[in-house]
Amino acid sequence: MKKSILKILLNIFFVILCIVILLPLFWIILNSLKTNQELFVNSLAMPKKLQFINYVKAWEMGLYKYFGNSILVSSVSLVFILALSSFLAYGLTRFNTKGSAVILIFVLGGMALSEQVALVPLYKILKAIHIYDTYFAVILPYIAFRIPFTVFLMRSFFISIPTEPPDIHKNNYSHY
Amino acid sequence: MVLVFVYIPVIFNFVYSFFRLSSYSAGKTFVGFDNYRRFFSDDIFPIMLKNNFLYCIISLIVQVGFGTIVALLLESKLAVKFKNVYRNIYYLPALISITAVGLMFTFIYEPNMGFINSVLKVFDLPTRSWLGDSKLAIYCIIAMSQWQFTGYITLLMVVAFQNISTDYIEAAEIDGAGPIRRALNIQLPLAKEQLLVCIIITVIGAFKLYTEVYATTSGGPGNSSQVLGLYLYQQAFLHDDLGMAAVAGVFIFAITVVLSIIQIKITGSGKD
Repeated sequence: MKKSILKILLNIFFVILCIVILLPLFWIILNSLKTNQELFVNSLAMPKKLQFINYVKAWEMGLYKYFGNSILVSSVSLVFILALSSFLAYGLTRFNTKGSAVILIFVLGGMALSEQVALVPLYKILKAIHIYDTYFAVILPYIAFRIPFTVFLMRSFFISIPTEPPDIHKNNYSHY
Repeated sequence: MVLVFVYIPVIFNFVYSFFRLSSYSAGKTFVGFDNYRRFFSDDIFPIMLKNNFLYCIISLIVQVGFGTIVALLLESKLAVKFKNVYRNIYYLPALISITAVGLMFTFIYEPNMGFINSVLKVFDLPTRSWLGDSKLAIYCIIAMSQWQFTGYITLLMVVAFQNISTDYIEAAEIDGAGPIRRALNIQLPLAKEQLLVCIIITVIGAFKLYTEVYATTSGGPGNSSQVLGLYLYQQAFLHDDLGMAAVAGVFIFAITVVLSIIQIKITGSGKD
């Protein structure tokens, strides 16, 4: 009996949390379907007629290009970041090489830098290797700045995996 | 090999920022530690530090603390039926780009037609200009970040808790440990690595804070919500003073490195 009361309370808690999290999003989506005047009059009201035309207008005004850019940059970066970080994290946790600690400190230090710190020197470097005005100018630094964090996450996961498989033959008394 | 190739941008930038420490961008004039002196004696400096630390502490309590509690609840024996749905919904805001969230919250906090003020008006409570109030602005920005990233921490911790083999938990239950005891003494210590990761990224994020502030207040009414990252940007591009920007960058780096090392040492992580 007590258990089901607790369950109900827990569920209510989760639902309230959901509402809190989703409310701003819901409000914004609601407002994106209104005309300008409706928005200024009362922002909490439901739109009189769902103005999907807003989305069409935004798309035509250039959103399609921005969306395409985002997809391109994200997918390329994703592949590289995952590949490089997994290898790096795996190597760092599995093999006890001499330079592991040094490399780890390097990588973690990279996490502390933000992109703004490196902005101007980055500009000079990118100009020097002639990829300034291309997509790579965004992708390469992005990868470089995301790898430390990803390696950090993966390393903490790899550490929790045991190195030796469970020994199933240890207590096997079948041979004598 | 891979490490070196990827690291060249980051390391080079760091080296460059060091070189530019005491020089201006067009025509290098070496001014020694003058930049450092100016940086530390700037009037805004204590405000920035306070904002960053405030963000750090509040983030730790809300994002990591509350997030972990929610994760514990989600993973508890009470086996909520929709727990994956809840978990995914909480994670949703973290997927939105910070700039978009910043703009969205500027809209929400808007004095006349923002969401918060509209709701307050319905209940006839006093409204106010949230982002325009120099005492409240930084708290509003912090709240916005909590909304966005608590679900992220919850997700990370849920994964960590799911990796704990049920043998431990069952053993504890047989020994008669109640749910709270189980959570504190079994689940948390076994997820210690992940907890450390979450704490470190929250602290580092607290000092790298830039996009949220830029997208909402750009420093807040009269510099009240100025933070280190934003200061760096303004020095470099508005005041055209790369030396100061580099100093700010080095300072941010130093703080984050020191704090990270302290945290790693305290918890003794990574030792098998």
